[in-house]
Amino acid sequence: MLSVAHANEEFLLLHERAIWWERLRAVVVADLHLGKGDAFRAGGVPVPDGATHADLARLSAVVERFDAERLFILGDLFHARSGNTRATLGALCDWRRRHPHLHVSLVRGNHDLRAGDPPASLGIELLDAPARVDPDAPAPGVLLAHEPPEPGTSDAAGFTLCGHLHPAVSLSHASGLGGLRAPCFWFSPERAVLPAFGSFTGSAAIRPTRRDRVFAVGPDCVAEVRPAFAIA
Amino acid sequence: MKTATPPNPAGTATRALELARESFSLRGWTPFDFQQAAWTQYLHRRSGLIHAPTGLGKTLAALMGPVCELAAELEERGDPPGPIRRAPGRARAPARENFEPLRILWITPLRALATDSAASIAEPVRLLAQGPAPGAARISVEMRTGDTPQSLKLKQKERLPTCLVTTPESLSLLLSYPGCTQRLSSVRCVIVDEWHELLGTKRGVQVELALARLRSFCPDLRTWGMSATLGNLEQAARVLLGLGEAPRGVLVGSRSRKRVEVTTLLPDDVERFTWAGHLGITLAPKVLDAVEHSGAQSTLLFTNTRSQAEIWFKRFLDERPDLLGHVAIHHGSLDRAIRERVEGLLDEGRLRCVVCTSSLDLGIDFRPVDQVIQLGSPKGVARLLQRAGRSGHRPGAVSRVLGVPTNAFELVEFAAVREHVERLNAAPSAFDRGPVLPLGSGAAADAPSADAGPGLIESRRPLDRPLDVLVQHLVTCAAGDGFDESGLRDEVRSTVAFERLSDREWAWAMDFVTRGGGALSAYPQYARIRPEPALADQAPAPGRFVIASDAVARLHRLTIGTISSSAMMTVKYTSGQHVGTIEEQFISRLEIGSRFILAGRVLELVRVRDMTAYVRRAPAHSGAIPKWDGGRMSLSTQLASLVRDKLDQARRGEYTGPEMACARPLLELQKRWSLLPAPGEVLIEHITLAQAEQPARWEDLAATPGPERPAPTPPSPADRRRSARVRRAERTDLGGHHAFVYLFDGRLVHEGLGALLSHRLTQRRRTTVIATATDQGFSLASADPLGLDEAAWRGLFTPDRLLEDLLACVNSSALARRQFRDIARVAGLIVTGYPGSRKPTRHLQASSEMFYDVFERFDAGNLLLDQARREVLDAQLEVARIRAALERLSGAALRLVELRRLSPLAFPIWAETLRATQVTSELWSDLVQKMSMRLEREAGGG
Repeated sequence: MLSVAHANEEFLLLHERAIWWERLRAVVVADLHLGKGDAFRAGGVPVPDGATHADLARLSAVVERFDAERLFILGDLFHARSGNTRATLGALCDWRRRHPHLHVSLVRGNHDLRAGDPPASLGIELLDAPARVDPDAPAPGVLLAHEPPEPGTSDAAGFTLCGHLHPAVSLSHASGLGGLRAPCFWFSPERAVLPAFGSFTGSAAIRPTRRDRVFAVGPDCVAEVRPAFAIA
Repeated sequence: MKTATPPNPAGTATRALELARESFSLRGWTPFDFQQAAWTQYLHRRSGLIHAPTGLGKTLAALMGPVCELAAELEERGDPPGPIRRAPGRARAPARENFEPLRILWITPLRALATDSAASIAEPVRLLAQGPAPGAARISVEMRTGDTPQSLKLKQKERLPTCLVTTPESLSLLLSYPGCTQRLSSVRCVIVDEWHELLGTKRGVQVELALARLRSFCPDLRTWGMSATLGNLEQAARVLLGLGEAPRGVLVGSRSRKRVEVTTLLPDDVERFTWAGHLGITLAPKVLDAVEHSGAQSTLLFTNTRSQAEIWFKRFLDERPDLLGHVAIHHGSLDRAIRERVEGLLDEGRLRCVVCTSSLDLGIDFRPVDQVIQLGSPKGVARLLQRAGRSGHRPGAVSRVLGVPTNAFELVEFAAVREHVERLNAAPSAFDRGPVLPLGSGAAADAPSADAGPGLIESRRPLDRPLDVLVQHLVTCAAGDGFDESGLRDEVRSTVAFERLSDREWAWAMDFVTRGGGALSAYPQYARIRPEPALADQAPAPGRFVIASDAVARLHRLTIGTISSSAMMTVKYTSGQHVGTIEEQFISRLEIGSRFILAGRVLELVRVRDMTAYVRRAPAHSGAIPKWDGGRMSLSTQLASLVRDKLDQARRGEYTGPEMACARPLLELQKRWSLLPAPGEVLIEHITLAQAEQPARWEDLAATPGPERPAPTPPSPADRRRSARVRRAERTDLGGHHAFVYLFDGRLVHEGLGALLSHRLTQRRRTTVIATATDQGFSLASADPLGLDEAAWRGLFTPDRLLEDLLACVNSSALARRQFRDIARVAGLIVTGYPGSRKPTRHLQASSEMFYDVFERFDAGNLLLDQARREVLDAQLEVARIRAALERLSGAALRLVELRRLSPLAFPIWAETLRATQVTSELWSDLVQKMSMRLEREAGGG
């Protein structure tokens, strides 16, 4: 865990690839891609089962550890329509029953648009990006989105929490660490990109600038790395 | 089958032989012994492997048997050679039914070779038809590769030509369509060109499996192959022929050999000459001189990597802009059109020099050049001979190679290889007693290299049970006409690759394609193949399997072609014109607007879309040179042992030959500052470097001692840039404690040993050790003192627990994951679309690393993971060689030397450390913390 103060807010970065937002008592995650293995199998690519269950169990663990009241999902809850099998939806229903009082909000992501919304019976609030969830927040206020705002095009109306990029940082040989690559939280002045929560997801190496802060996620810790040296 | 066996086989054979000889004499040629032998053996229904130097007519040796047999049959059948009917509505094209059905399959390893092969097959067929055998007009020759236009493919779907030139991938594709059994059952003969290129690769195994399949429904099938010089020709023949045919097979070879002469280009001033191998670009003027003024009209300049080719090509043009149009570049990443243009110009003799990679090693036919230049270490004897064969093609002519060392150590390598080639020139040939050696007769086994004495030339080891290729083959067969499980299993086991396939492995592979994983792991909704369903009133045949759906078959066909190519991206101009291909990884590291060099042009990356990188010409003079994978070959065992001999001579003060005389000052310096090991000794050097002490260049080092040394000439701007780069790199690197171990055993072995030793070291204490390997040795570097005395070294070198320790380091490093890339592609996990096609499969794309992780976590028993580890152990780390090296080490006397400054041998390895990989036992978090602290410190300081 590592605490970051940004945009007059305080975020706790968790190695589970989630953020704990104490002021709203909310857990924030992005890019779960539930049912991705199912979609692959249905398409004739052999992928073992298990990621969906493991990811939901990890999500439960975070929610319960902090006794969270809210959960914000920054898009890509589902991977594809063909992945929304009975098994995937069943697992999600079971998970929902385990947290009946949790207020869950989903900012629709690009995959959700094609995969479809979760069943209404799950009681998941659907939001369109950019969503302002706390009008009383101290300036500049926090916006939730799936895709990061294009630099310069944001209306400067707030600080955006987003996902979509599946950011990872390569800690390359310039630092003596050959080829080590880790998912990361990527903070810029106007936005923070969360790592993908789903365990069967890829990642893309980022190119941070000097004003950015990058927090690499390890198996059981989060550590800040200096972006200027993080790239080869 | 359409035609029965000819009525009088003996008569046909006699007539066929006559036709072959006649067609030769019409051209005024006399067939060589080995050509006649190959025809006779073929006509006696035998299979075999033909070995002869380039330019001696291997193609005609393999081709004329089957072609003339067919012509003789047509003659016997009394088919009127009369008018051939035109296709309706097409004025010129004769109808396809006029031609004989498919008889000959010609398999070539490279698409680029297909056009060439088709031409060199069509020509003798045409001459036959015009001359002694008019019936040969009914033999059609066509190609089928990934480049074949769709219209022709459709026609071929109706009826295949008599002789089909194709690639391993396209052959597998043919087997993946329903009806293939019927369409291919008329094949009599498969000829595999450049078999040595396929042996030991997964594509080679793909061919083995396809041949096994063909043999099951073409009972009369004869298999022939052609191979360049190999140390294990007999084994190569066995693999090609399969277990069933091999006992009757033959090796056919030519007694006549070409003499090869190697000379080495010597640098004027060895002090100015870095050991660290900066591509030897300083020698460019001398090389240009050799191209222009040696009297040679045409030159092939072979480099070991594509990057090197680009660098040298650009350098030539920078130095001599007037050579534009007379110098060209040729490598596997260039667009086919560019390559073909270069090959054409080369054949017409209109180019002074082509800078190329192994892309021109292969059998593309073009006029022999006057001179071959090998830039950088030849890495192996067979390879150098193959490249040498590009000059002086004519029988009896001498092949000349000019070796250009790119660092001082390569002087020693060229000295070793030159002396060895001289010995080979004088050695007897296995075919001295006759052109035919029966396989398994012992005669061939006694002289496995066939061309020289045993062990003098490198072998290619066949692969053992690559399950990913098997998985692909199962789906291919299911998508074709389906298969019978026990029949296919026997068929697969008739290949050398799967000779040792266990029942458990077979069952796993079947499970993997029917249910996903082993019986215990869950892969719901998944199936690529399934038991044949019952028809309306018929019970299903038990044990028969078919493809699960048409969609799966289509998806599978997309993956068949991907065995060879690593993830490559097409590079195009924004106008749409092709430039070539480049590794996806390279592009992914570039930002939009970055510049890089391809085909000698500086290009600017504009955008990346759908596996295509769009670029435009950039005015700038500099750009990143792409680094292609696989460029870093290891020294072969043979050459490594020759190099050790040369170094031992140097130790004794014997410097024979110009190369050794040139390398002498540096080797003497090595002896002064440290030592050169005697046979049975291993040199280990230790040094502790503070950051400030690290020399930026060898020259800085060499300039310090001894008053007898002349002051170094001022560095060139390029040198200055380079040393600035090294200094920059060095600032970010640890100083620390280094140990250098020299085995002179090739980079692969050293890499494995380095990984093993650093693993063992980190097992004993919590520390970070960076292992680095070159062809000469390896180093271990750590921020903490290594504290290794002789006893500690001996402990590290123990061959005990070798496999366990190696597996542990394979798991802890990225090695297995990297190897998995290939496996995932072949096994059909990675779905790529046709470049540019619409992507219905986009949501099914995932990287091999993701697959590796998800398998490791949720299906740890998956045998593909096993295979990845095994491939790393066998192919990448070469366990057998590592074991041999450790055994040599445990018997050797260790000579430990404490260095005051980096020795000439240590310097190149130290320089390589800057690009090091590492193994660590420290917890990940510790590591990141430690590193970030260090980086922050440096950020604060700078």
